[in-house]
Amino acid sequence: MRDSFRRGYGAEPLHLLVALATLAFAGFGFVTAAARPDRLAFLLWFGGAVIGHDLVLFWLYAAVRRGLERTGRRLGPGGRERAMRAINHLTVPAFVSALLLLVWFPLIFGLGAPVYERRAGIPLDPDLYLGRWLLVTAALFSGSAVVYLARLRRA
Amino acid sequence: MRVNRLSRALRSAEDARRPPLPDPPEVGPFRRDAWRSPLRGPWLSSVLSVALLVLLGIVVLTGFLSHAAYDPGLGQNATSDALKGLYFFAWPTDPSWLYALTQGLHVVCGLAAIPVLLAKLWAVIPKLYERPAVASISHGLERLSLALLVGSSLFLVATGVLNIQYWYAGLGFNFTPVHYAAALVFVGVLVLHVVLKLPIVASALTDDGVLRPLRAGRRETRAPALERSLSVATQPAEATISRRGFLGAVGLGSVTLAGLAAGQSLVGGYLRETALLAPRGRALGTGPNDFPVNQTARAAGITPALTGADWRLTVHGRRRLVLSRDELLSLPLSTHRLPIGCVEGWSTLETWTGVPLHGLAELAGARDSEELVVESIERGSPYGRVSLSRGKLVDSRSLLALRVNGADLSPDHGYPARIIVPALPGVHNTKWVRALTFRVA
Repeated sequence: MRDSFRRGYGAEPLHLLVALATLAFAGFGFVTAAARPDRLAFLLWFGGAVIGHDLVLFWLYAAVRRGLERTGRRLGPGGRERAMRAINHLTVPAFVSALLLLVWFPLIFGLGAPVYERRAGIPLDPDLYLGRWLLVTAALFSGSAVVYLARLRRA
Repeated sequence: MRVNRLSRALRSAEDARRPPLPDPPEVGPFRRDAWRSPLRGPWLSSVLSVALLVLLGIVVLTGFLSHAAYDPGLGQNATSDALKGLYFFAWPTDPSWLYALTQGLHVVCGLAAIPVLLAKLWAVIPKLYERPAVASISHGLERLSLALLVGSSLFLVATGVLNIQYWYAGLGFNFTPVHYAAALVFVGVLVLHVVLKLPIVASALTDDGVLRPLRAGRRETRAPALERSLSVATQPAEATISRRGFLGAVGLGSVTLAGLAAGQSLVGGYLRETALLAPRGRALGTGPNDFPVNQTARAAGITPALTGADWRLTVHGRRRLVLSRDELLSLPLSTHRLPIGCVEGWSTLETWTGVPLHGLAELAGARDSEELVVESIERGSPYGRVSLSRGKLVDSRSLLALRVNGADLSPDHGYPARIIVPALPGVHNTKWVRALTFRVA
């Protein structure tokens, strides 16, 4: 009987047990959110999170990387080696900078200003965080340049 | 030995019947050779998973502690009724920086987890397009749980990040209870995921060594053997970055994100200046009332008329007292240096002067009170009426504060009187207090 269960289900009974128990708990959480009147917005955001990342964001950074590789290929074998190392010293700080922008873009572009000012009691200067992000970006690229030069000297 | 039997019991069987759903066509990303990076493999996924589990483990734990800090079983305190019964213990008052710590960790570790989460998703994304799409019922359940895992983790991170920056445009739902419900979903599917993948992670780290693959530079970086995982590239391209570089970039992202925000969480100290990219990392001046505000008097609808000379504090117990501000100031006052922390992760340390709560309980003949209900002048807020457990009202440091840092409270900080209790979440340190009711049997 165990064998026919395995063939029908695809795994041992313990797998089904654990799966059902944990999915039931998750389902409870889901139903708790869906029972609320603002359920439509929740579902849209939940689904949007998966679609937004898997089908949009991912392909965006895959495209960026492919573009960089194509540039690298055009430079030939000798240039390619140098280019590879140089490219990483550009993509890493760019990645961190883009990450900071992705996380803090409402603050950087002052999108939350109305609520912020009501809650914090101080105005949200529109250029304050933009300036700080640019400063951090500059520091990241400078740091990367310093490391790059140090590696060149060592080579 | 038992672990092997357990892991075998949890693995999908090879001799499952034919797939219950039709397969997607083998084009584009559904072709396994479309995925070219040689970095992908069980070791990379495992290392990222372990880091993610540690960070998100802290986030989940501090998240549930944050809910517990509100004493959801008491009065109207609960922001969500789900699993209210689990919170059977009253939130303590010691150490005074407890809530500042748990919430600070919640936000900082959450931020640090973002690049690790994105990297983990990158490492396993070929599996999104695996064929057969659903090989068996067990495979289908696993894929469903993964969809919920990805969805809930991204949802929690996105809503959390938006909440601390006050950008609610387009959210359309009440943040607190929905964030909590999504956390329940996340915990459920995370447990399943960890249980199923733990043997794989253990064997990958044993086979490849935890740190050995980091020794390879970019030119020595090779794809692992094909059969080790579905994420391994069948036709790997030349590595553009080594695993060392890849993980280094991810680590740099984490450290930068967390490091530029952690300063807003430290209770006092010059390290606050480092919080460049944090909503509350701003210099505010050196005056006694120059520390961060959450909810201004104007936004709460508090007018000078309501808090002027006609303001009275009503205290209920076995006796009813009506006290003016001058009368409160003439009572024995205490001064304590206490931190106050917000659910958004920032905190600050200030010196508060006021009437001890236990003193007011005594005056009202309610020294044995089990619960204090605090009411604010503010209307229409879920925190306008807060219940405090006995431990909080008997603590000698719990005050009805009248002054901060030697000066009268400013209107934004709760003039004429506010509650300050050690380790209590910021929103429960009620501002613009109108009435205190010491519940007696």
